[in-house]
Parts: sequence; structure tokens; C-alpha cells
Amino acid sequence: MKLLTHNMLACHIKGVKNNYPFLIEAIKVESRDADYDPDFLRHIFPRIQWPAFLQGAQSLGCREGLPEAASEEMLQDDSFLQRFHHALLEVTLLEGALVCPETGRKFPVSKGIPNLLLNEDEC
Amino acid sequence: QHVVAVYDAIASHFSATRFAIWPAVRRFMEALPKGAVVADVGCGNGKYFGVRRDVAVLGSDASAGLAEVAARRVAAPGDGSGPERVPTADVLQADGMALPYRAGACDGVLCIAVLHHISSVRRRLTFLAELARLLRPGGRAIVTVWAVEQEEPKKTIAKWTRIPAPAPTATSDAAATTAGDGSSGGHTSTGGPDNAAATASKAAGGADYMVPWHLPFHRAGVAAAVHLAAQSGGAGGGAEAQGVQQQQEQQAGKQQGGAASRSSSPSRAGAGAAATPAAVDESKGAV
Repeated sequence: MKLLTHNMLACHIKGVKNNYPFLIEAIKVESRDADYDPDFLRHIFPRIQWPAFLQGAQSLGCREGLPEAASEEMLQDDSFLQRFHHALLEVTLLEGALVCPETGRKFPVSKGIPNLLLNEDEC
Repeated sequence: QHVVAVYDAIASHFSATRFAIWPAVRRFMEALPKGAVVADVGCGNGKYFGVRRDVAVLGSDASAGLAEVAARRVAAPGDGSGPERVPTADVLQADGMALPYRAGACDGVLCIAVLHHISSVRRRLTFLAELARLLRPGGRAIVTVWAVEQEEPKKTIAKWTRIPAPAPTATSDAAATTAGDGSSGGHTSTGGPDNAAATASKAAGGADYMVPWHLPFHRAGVAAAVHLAAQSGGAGGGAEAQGVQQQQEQQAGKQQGGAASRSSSPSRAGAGAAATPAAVDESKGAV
């Protein structure tokens, strides 16, 4: 699971209000090369919730070098884009869990795939 | 439930028969802006991941087997030995009826050949509302379904492989009776949503599950896996098992036609399954 994905996920257990972002339990994290496409990054940047992105990056060990607040003008700065690229698309959670911020319910991540199927009493 | 079990069992064969990019879906993808976030609900083997590398496709599937195949598409070795990797895509295992995305997160939604797996109109409406929840204002979804009316229903159903629901005391006689009649095989799908739910909730022997393409039963692994899936996934999950698909499987159908002339040997459906091999009907080879 990439931080791009984590940024879009919210806990869907019925009745949960504080459902975003998932906390991350990181057991195995890897970096996988991805082609650098600054244009893609500039276009996807507005879709990213920045504080959630920072939280995720903290859990996956790639928080360093990312600014507390990100602004549009940073998108012209190549070194920012490189760090953004790395944290967004290359750092991958292979084993661990996504944890609901309200209930603590753990959704396992295995072989890079989060299992977000709900139990009967959760839907 | 049962649909997922069957897809898990046949994931690699299914994936091999799903490679063509549908033109309408390609057009939809090509119209998206750069940097769009797209949810591919029921992504199967991830075949749409690579259509636009400058679009983030988040694929989800309820089947762990298919999710794993799709994940290989994302992280392909990139050494020229197979399809190019798609680092802007990602995969999760999730149920379409309860999607774990925040509201308005997506610019686009793909839902290709999934809706027919949902048995009732009410549930389909819930599902479609769920897809709409994902979209930002102005976002677009493409939902494709198979039309029942592509040809005569009897002709379509004759191409399907039936997997009988597990019976607690399965004998070869009982299995042969349920497996025998091709023309009545469509009752779970044509009976209407409430009928399907009613038959499925009956005790064993009630609903049969239609797998709408020919499975290569001559491959021992597939026969055994499907058999076990029918055993364990069958009871009570039948309301979801509906589907009409076609043609691409002609080729697999010809293979099956050949296999039908060999009687299935007990050892192939082994792996400790209690029901007899005769419960898996291979005589549907007619195309």
C-alpha cells in the first residue's frame, strides 16, 4: 500500500465518525522505484490531504524533508517534488495494519494489499 | 460470498481470459485529466491500471486471489519480461458494497462487469449510491454490465458451467439429478431477485451457482479448487451468484468439449472433499 492510497482511505465501519486518516502499524516497509513524473505530481498534489500525508509518512519512515505545510509554489521546486514523489509513490507498506482512529480495529496489510473487508457486525 | 470463493479458486484462469481493453472504458480513461484519482471497483486482474500512467488508479476487489494478481500488475519487475509496472496504481481487498474511501475522494470511478454479481435491485441501488459517494462534484463513473438479451437465454445458459450447491449427504444420484437439466439451469438468475434470495436461503440442494464461462476442469487443480469452494462457500451465500458473460470463452469451451468425453476420475476432485466428483458437471461442453 502506498501513501497515495492511504490518503484516500477512511474507515467505513458503520457509525464511526472519526474515521480519517487510518493510523498505520508498519511491520515491513519497502521502497520500489517509480518513474519520476513532475507533471503528474503537480496535478495530484491538490487531491492530497497534507496533514494525513505527513502522518502516514511519519509511520512509514519517510517524513524527513517534507514541509509542515505545503503550498503551490513548492511545486516548482524540484527537490520538494523528488521527496514528495518518493513518499507518495515509492515507499510501500508490505506488512502491517491500518488502524481505525476511533475504534482501534486493525485491518491487516499483507503482501502490500490491505484487507478492508468488514465483519457482519461492522456494516 | 460464494462468488468470491469461486473467483478465488479460478483467479489465474480468469485472469488469463481477461486481457482485452474495452474501447468505451479506454475512452473514459483518456478523457480524464492528468493526476485524476480513479477507483476501479471490482478491478479483477488490474487490466485497466496501465491505460493512463498519469492517473492514479486505486483498484479494489473482494477476491484476495484477484487482488494478488492485480498487485503483480502494479509492481511488475519492469525488466521487460512482462507487462510494464504501474507505480501510480494500487490495490486493496474490499467489498463494493462498503468501500473504504473518503467521500468525494475520486475524480472517476470504473465499475466494469461487476453489477451482475449483485442479486437484488435494492442492493444494486445501494451499490450505485456507494459509487456516487466516492465522486467529487463533477466526477464521473462508468458502469458496464452484461446484457442478458445478447442472445437466446437458453443458448447463453448452455455455455455456463453449473456448480451445484453442496448437499449435506451428497450421493452421486442426487448430484446427477441436479446436474442433469441444462434448460432449467437459469432459475436462479431469471427467477427475479427475491426468488434467488429465497432459493439461496433454503437448505443445501436449493440454489445452484452458475459460473458463466467454461472452467478448464481437465486441469486437476481447478476442479479440486472449485469443488472445495462450492463445499465451503455455498450455504447461504447463494443470493450473490448471478452472472451472464460470453464468447471469449469459446476457446476454453472447445477445450472443455474435449475434456467432457473423458469421465472425471475420483482422484482429480480429491484433496479430501467429501462430495463425489459426479457433483461437478462436465457435460455442459456444448457451445
